[in-house]
Amino acid sequence: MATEFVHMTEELLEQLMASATPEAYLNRARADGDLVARDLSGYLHELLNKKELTRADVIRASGLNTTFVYQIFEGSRGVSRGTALLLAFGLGCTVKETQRLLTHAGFSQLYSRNRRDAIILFCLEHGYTRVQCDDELYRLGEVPLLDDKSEG
Amino acid sequence: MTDGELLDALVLDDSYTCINTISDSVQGRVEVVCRKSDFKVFVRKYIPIELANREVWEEIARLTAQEDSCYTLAHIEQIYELPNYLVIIMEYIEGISVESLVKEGGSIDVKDAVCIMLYVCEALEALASAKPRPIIHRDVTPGNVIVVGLGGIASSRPLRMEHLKRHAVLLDYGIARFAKPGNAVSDSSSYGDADVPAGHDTRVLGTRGFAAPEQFGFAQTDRRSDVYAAGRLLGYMLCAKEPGTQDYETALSEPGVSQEIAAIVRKACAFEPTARFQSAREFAIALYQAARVLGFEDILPTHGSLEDMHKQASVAAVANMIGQVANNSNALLADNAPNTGDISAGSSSHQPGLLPPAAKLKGIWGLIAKRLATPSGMRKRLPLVIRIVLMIAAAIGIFVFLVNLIERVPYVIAGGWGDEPYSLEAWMQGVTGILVYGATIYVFGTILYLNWGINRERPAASTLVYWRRVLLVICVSFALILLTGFIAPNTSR
Repeated sequence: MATEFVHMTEELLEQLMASATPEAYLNRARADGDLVARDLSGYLHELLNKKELTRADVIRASGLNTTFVYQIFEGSRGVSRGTALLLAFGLGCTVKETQRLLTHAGFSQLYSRNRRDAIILFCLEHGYTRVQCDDELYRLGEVPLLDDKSEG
Repeated sequence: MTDGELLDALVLDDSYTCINTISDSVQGRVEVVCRKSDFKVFVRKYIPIELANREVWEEIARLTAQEDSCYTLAHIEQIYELPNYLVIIMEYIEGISVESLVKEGGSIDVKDAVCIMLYVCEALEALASAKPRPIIHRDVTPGNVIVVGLGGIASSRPLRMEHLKRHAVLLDYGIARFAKPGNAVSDSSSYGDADVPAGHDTRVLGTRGFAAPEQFGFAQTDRRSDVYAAGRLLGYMLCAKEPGTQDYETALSEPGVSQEIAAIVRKACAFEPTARFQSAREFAIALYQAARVLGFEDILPTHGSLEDMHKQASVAAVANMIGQVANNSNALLADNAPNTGDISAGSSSHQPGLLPPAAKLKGIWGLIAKRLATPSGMRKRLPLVIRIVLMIAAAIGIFVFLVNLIERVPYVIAGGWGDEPYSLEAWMQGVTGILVYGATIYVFGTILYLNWGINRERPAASTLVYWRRVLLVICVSFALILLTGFIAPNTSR
């Protein structure tokens, strides 16, 4: 599916290049549902249902503050990239789900050419918990996830 | 709210999965949910915390949780709080709202409409009976009354709603609130209540066309506001026109609509609250009376608290009949033929719910007929002194007769006193004595019961309370008898 997604995106890019005005592309893309609506809370609930977790589980596994998580799920509060990654670990996301979560939250996806991102990608791929991932980051001299949630 | 509390609430919140969102607005979100543990379906309401009245919801939850609770209210499963919402988990009721019934199939048959109204009255009466403060629903609309048991087919008419405990359910307690203590007079300086202060009554309006005028800020709302909305609802069911429009007024006076019922609608929807029925109970009694006139009383539901209202309507009808007979005979005695005509014309077109012609009787009989014709809930109580005297007399009576009754029991069982020979005659006398004394105790008990409660506006309605009181007096009498037996052990015959 990852390749499919990339292919689709490349296809869309070609269409965009070919269109005369931005509106022409946007109208067509909206009609076909190709535009991603930035609905983080919707996606989080979707993951929650899919994985049959409760928000309480997410709170425990991510190490985030209860009220904060509640507000994120309500959609009344935005997240930082660090928090989004913590949520991804809290929800036990795969790499693909994490990338999508980051996109919904409005951040750049994990980038394998970035040292820290690469470590996180590895941890996600191997199903590490948030604590195990932080240990790895610390061991390799990177900022652990829990220290990087800076802003809400 | 602490983190621990929130965590608990979240665990609760996540123990239900959303199946379908019914509505989502500033007033809150309503969704159909499924409990993960047992796959039971519920309705979940998220009410913004600043609009929610938790106390009222809790009181309704308490009302509906009772064993013999009112089936015409939706059962509330759970109430919990999230930081910005009050969350209510309530029973999922499958049915069709009166609104869609009317929109799809036009006006509802008068029998069904009266049935539905009785269920609504039962629900309103249950809300009004909340202790210590009655609850006012404030949003009785066709959309909030769900008719159940139609199997999802709106066209399955007639509705066949006879004698069932549940066929219409009153929903949406979103803007319900407690009645203000004291009189229902607008008083913006009164903050006696924990919820909305009196001046804020206009904050949340009901539904246009159904909300009583006082809900638009003319005065304080009370249970009579619900009577108004219920009256409008009945009118809507009968003529399928939105109340408040000109069409509605004309449709209500059309010959197709039963004028007995139309009179009830008009009385319930009087602008001035004092001119309406003073409670849902009175409304229901009037409906029973009208149904008796129209000849479909026997198909109406008479369960639970409706039974009592039905009885009161029957008593009133009997008294009414006595009144008419007496009036007619009076008129005949006076040999006044035109007058007789007047009365019979008057009785055939008499408006149910209004005082019957019995009120025309003169003297003590008039008083008795009037008192009989007034449902006991509406009767003025006798003066306090008379009541106390009556109660004391009744208590003494019960005591004395109980002594006599108990004295006879061993005789009847054993068939004679030790030294007296057995005789059938004496035994029969004993049995008769027991029966007569029992009946007398019953009468005295009734007197005691009706006059019990010095500060109550009216006697309590349930027969259970009645028997409890009679039993109490009997127990006390019994204790006294035992006591006298101990004090004077050698005074036997």
